Amino acid sequence: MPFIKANGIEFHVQEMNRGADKIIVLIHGMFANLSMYYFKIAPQLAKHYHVVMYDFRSHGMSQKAKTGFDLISLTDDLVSILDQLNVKSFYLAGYSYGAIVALKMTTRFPEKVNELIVIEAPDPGVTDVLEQTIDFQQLAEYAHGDNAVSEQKLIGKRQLEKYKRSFTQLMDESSAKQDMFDQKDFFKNNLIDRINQRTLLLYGLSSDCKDACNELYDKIPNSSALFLDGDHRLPIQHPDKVAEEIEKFLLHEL
Amino acid sequence: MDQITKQTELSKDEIFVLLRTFIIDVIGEEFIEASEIQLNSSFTRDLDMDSIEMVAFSEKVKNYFGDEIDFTAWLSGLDLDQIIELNLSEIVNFIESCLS
Repeated sequence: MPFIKANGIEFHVQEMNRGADKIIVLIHGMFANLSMYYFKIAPQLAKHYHVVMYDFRSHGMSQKAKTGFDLISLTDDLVSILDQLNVKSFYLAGYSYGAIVALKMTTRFPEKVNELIVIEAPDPGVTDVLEQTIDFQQLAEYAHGDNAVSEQKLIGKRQLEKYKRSFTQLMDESSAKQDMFDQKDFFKNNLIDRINQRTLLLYGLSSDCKDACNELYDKIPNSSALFLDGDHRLPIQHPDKVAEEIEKFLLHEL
Repeated sequence: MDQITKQTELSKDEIFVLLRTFIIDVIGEEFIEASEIQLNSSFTRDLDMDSIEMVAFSEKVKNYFGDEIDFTAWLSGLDLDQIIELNLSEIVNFIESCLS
């Protein structure tokens, strides 16, 4: 299994079609992992691009960490991983909190990011943003094993224990929740207005985050917005369509 | 076990035994015994594997068989629901068809 040590953490990294000239980096959302891209979206993009995916610290198969879920640390992680892969410039796509990381990456390292795809980025300044994008109640129910999903045996005992450990580690034993709340002024940061990269804002028609899309559309001069059937879980609901729209955008067909 | 190697002579049973080893590697032998893994076992319902464990399993298959099978393309041709419902025999059959 490919692991890269960056900023003192062992990160799980996956690549597809390493021989391609153009590189696209995919960033997953909070409490998710690279598997959200691995089975459908990444293989489709890998027909033409070298795809790089990684698990955030304390996510998927990456090493656990007690701190470092703020945007500076998370973008430092990505830069360090890409440096070790000798990736100098790339197209960048992120989902949910991963899209916020992608925006931060673009403001911090504009010379590295060729074009940007923002999928379902929430506004961290909206007080219930976490509730918009992460169902904490459901996660807690998973962790306590009293959710209807577990009763239906859609998730077994070992997975339940695994969720419980991950949830406890992230929410109670790390700075993740506080670090996410601390990014509340990110959309007010005028650096977003200076993003010059061609940017696609990809949202679900039924998404709770559509206001964030409108705000980003107003702020990012070279942006276009596209709404597809679905809600905040758009890449999970319609991965083929999401991959197709990303490809079209990168081919300048959008 | 993760080395790329040519294995064109593997029988169906041998492929199954190999995949069973991969699954035990991914899940951990403290959580599952070989006898619990059957040809008709579903990855999620029976083996209780989550999506990141499926990634680890897929990587083991790809690393072992290399260019002999295009496991990524085969998986990406399935719907997510099909991937969730996938059982071991479907992968054994796919690998056997690639090797024959």
